[in-house]
Amino acid sequence: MADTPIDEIRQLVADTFGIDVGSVTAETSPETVEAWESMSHLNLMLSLESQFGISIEPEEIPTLVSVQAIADKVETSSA
Amino acid sequence: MSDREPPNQTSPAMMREQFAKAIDAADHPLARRLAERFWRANPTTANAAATLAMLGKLPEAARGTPLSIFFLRSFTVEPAFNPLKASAAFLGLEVEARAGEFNAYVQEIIDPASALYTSEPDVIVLAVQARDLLPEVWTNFTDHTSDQIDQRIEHALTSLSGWIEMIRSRTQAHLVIHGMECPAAPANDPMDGQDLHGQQAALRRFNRELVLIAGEHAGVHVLDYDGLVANFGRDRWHDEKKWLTMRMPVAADALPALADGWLRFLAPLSGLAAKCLVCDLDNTMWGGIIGEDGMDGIALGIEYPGAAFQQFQRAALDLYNQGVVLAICSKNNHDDGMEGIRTHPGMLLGEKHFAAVRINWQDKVTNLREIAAELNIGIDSLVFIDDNPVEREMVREMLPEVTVLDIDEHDPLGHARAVRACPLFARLNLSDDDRRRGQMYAEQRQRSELQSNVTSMEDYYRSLEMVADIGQVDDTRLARVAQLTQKTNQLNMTTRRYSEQEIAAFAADPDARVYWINVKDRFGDNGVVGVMITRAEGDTWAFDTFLMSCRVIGRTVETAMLATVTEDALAAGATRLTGWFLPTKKNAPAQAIYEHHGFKKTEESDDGTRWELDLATSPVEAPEWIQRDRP
Repeated sequence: MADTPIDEIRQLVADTFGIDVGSVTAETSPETVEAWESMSHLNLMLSLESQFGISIEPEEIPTLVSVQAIADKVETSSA
Repeated sequence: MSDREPPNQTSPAMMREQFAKAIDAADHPLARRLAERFWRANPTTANAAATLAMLGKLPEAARGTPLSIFFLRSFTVEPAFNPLKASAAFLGLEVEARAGEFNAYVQEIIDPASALYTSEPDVIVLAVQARDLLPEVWTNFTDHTSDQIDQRIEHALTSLSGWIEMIRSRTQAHLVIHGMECPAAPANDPMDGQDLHGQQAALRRFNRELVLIAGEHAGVHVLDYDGLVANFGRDRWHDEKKWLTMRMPVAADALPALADGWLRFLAPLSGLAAKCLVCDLDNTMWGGIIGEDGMDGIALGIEYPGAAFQQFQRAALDLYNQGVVLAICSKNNHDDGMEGIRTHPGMLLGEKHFAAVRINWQDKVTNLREIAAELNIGIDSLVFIDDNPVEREMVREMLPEVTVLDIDEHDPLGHARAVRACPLFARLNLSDDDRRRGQMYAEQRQRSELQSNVTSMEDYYRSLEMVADIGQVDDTRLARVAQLTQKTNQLNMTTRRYSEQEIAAFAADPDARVYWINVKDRFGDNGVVGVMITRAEGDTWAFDTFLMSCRVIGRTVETAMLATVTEDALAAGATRLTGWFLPTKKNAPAQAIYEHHGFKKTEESDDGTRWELDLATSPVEAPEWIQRDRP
């Protein structure tokens, strides 16, 4: 289990929503995860900020609703 | 122990793998230690969720004592729940946190059918901010005259006071109120800092008055929110944009600090309080190794790095002064260690501060067990501080009940911080007994020496010249009586834990009596050491609670207590005195007390045994060597 950003994000998503990391793919989103609702989404956003030392603008928060979208955000912010 | 690998800097992914292996092997104690190591290595908001996911894989029994908290709030507090739950879990608390509706705290307080009351929380946190409670002070301060500001503050305090009274009249839950923070950029800065009618002065005045109001009620506490923010760094604490968009004013990185701020109240409110700090010597109490570097070679004094060790000793001394007992556990030649403690000019602590000393080559697990036994306290009352990670792991593995502080031998300034930050040393009030406890332990050593000089036990009792004051609870002793119900484990018949509010409720009940006993002897004052709560039911007096501190064990104080209740019950026309003995893991020493005093067993259930004394035929006789005073 290498600590690449996408793996770290998958792990964070799994921890935040209480699901198995093996089931988390780039397409995982609120459509596929029942526990992914507004408050746990906020928790995930705050976790991303603290994990990657990035800042997520409030207007971006509603758009970061899939693992792929989050990975893109992390990549552009840390570049 | 050379075969033990010290825990090194393992990557988070490796820690997760180790954890998964421990779960697969059903080694739950190891899994729990790994989860704790994972959390402590990096206690961030992100890792809180991961830590909770790990803890969720442990069996329910390993999760801790439930504690429910209701947050009345004017901002989004929920993201701090995960860090709170993770930190609390490793203190042995399973936190269930619930937030009221956003900014509906007034309605929730007023409505008796609101979730605030129906959820029956153990603790209520009033998480409000100056911008909601005092907008005239926080938001548009410069639009107002100082008279108007004063009126607004007065009005807010009156409202708060009313809310506290309403909450108090409906629930005995503890209440923790957030104090107001000062703004990062006060209006009229820098004049404001010098203006006694300025914005910051107004908020500080409000906080001071809030503390006074809280002090009028049992179980109401004020969290110094401004201090919490300042310690973390005011600029880093805030995320103004998230406040304006989603009512979340606290930045992600600050959430664990907020959770720790709550936990310093929740731990003592749950009765979690360590009684003893056990200190290693080399590289913990002083820098270097006394057996090798010698008296002149160790670092301890006013210059760094010696100053860092003095700061640690100062922190330990502060604990000593609030009633925490200190002990030493060190691998050294006894004489080398003692010489350092007795004669090094840089020592702030001295031999008299230590209630138990183990300086030897025994393993530390055995030494810690012996220290707990010598001090007559539970092994779970110990906090252990040692710079050596191998020793720490050994203790964590063999004695999971002991709290182990993580310190870094390369950062001695962190020693004092670790001690001061430990929530198990957080206290919400100090009794006179707490302030004098260290001295009392020294007196106890003298009593033990006397005991070996007299020939019969009766002679020994007489030689103590004991005087017992026995009375019924009043406001001045409420805190100590509640504290004894919360902390006494061994000589405790029913182990019922009560808050100050609950003790006050007993005292107000005409059928109930709450007795305290204070025992003095020729060596000093032991303070309030016993509590009895009785309830009259027809011609029967029943013990709800009967407990005594181990401090006076083996001195017939319990007989004097029972004799007193016997007399009062007879005087009130009762014919029977009854009590339950409810066994726990710790109260075996109390098991035979009823039988020894002539009680007969009348009932046996899964919970325990019920005992009864016929007052007419076999009253308890008071021991003649204890002079009893009834103020």
